[in-house]
Amino acid sequence: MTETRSIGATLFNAAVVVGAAVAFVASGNLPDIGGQGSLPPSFFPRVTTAAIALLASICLIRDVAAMYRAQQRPCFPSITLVGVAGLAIFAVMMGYALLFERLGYILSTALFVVTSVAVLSLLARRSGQEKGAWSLRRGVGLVVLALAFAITIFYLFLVGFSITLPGLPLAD
Amino acid sequence: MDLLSNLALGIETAFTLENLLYCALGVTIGMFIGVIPGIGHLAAISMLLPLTFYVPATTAIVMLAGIYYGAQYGGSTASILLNLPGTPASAVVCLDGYPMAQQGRAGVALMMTTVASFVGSFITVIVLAAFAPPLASFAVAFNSTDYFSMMLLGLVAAAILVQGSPVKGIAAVLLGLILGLVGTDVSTGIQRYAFGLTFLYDGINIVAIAMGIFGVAEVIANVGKVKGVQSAQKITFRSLIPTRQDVKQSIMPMFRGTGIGTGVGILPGTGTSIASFLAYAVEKRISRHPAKFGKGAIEGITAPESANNAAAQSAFIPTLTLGIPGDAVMALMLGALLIHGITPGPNVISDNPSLFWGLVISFLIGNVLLLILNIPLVGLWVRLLKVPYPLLYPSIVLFIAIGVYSINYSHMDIMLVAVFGVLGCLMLLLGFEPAPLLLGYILGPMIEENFRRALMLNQGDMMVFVERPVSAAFIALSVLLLAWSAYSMVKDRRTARMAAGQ
Repeated sequence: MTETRSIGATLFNAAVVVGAAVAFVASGNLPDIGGQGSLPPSFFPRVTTAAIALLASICLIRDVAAMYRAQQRPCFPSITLVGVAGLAIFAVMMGYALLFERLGYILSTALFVVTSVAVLSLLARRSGQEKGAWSLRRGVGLVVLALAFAITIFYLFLVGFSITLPGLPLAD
Repeated sequence: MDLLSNLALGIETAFTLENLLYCALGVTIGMFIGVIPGIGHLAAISMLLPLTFYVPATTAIVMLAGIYYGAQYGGSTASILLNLPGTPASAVVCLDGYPMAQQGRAGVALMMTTVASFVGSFITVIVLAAFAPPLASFAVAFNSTDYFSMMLLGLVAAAILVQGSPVKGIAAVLLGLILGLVGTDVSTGIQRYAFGLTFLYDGINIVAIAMGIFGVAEVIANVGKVKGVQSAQKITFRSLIPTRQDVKQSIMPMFRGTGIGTGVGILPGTGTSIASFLAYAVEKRISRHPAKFGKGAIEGITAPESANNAAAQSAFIPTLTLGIPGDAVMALMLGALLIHGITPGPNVISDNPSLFWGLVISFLIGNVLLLILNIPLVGLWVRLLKVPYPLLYPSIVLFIAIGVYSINYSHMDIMLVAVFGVLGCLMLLLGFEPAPLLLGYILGPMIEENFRRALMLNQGDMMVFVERPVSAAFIALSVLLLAWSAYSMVKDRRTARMAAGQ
């Protein structure tokens, strides 16, 4: 049976090569300002992106060559708990950022706390990190806790650090 | 006399109510962070960085530094009681600390690690006070050529000396350099990699990067890893008292650990973990009873503890005297100084004597506070370890989001944190150390500025970097480090190939 090998790192290296190439080309659009002995603003971006592209290319070639030598079959990386958690936290944070100024700090934060606790609890249960069943009482408790937490933090920032957060939904 | 007046200035600065409060707050948060596995001091410092924008620079650094060295004290508590290292540097304490706890000597282990931490820190603060000012006076003569070469050495060391592949270390540094280039070019006023997005015109916020790659990434990486703690050994006052033999066996390891930690902490790119592992290895090698190590040898906990605390303090020497951060924490400290309008470099001590000397005295106060607080608070820390992950970590992410929002009142910064969180997580999964990225980001613009200035002053003559003795020495050291790294890689690969062939 042919062994399989995850191409996660290979894909990452390939993405870095492409990203560095794009950044290298983009640096070519910078104006060539520079006098006697002084360097143009494109110099450092070009050197750095070229070096990144070179390093990532070496890693990519080594990866592919190792896979070829070992006669392994490439396969997509399996979805891990950390991967799912990463995507979930990313989505929750993005949602929070988008709703922050629309819903105001208190509502968006309470929503953020409820969502993230629910998501992380779910993931922690799947990994066996946490035990215990969900109930309506616990859900209501979480909502109350989230609101209390959001209001407390709001006043802590306001009184303690003189930072005014957008408390309620902003009027258009 | 000069030293005495400087110390008097330091006492005057450190003993203000505000600085004392922030010092106490910093060390307490640091201890808490150190105890809790999965939240590093980097995450804590980046999370609290925005709050320090509203206080004077000295107060800000006093608190942030307190978190850093406070975490070194707290890190060993979870290692000893639960076999869970609170910080990477305290992982080595598990080797002998946990066996001591299993033998019913957890109290002695906690007491001796606290004393060792205090000894390591206290001696190194004295070294800092004695050697930093002369080093800064020497470095005042450096010009942009020397600065470029010195920062290059800092970056090379940061890339090479990381745990894991040096190639990945270099890649992380380069990625940091690119991130540092985003925004307005200081020499020409041209926008680079801003893609017309106004929030990128001033560059990417350091807090967004640090919170993302250290804070959010750690939260993601700890899903399924950090388990709630159910029980730990109870510590009574009587159980804390060491025997005369314990004290006798610990004295020299503490001093050796302090020496190793001080030396390692000064070197760029090393950090506290290398110091503690090195101190452990040295103790084991010179011990008359190496077989005792791993089974509850007291030298196995006191030497690494004094080493990691000494390294945490000596890392301030290059940061405050040369403006070169040795590790990611120091890079954040430099970031905090820059935010407060203080240009890092050899003039920091002469231009801001109250900052430097106030910091030195606050280190002493902080260490005394830690010595007093560490043991009585053990019970509280152990109870805090029982807080379930799904409640603790959303709170961290929330504080990160609010903290970063409060800097510019822009929701785009929260999005940037989320993006860097995913990037940090990807880096961890693929074996990249995120710390060199932050060093590259901080040092990148400074390197570019000094490189361009050096060339402009010398009509574009590249030879200037090897003609000036100081610059040439730094360049030679960088080349040697790279060559040593390449040699080690080839040797390791050959050894692995031979082992596979057998």
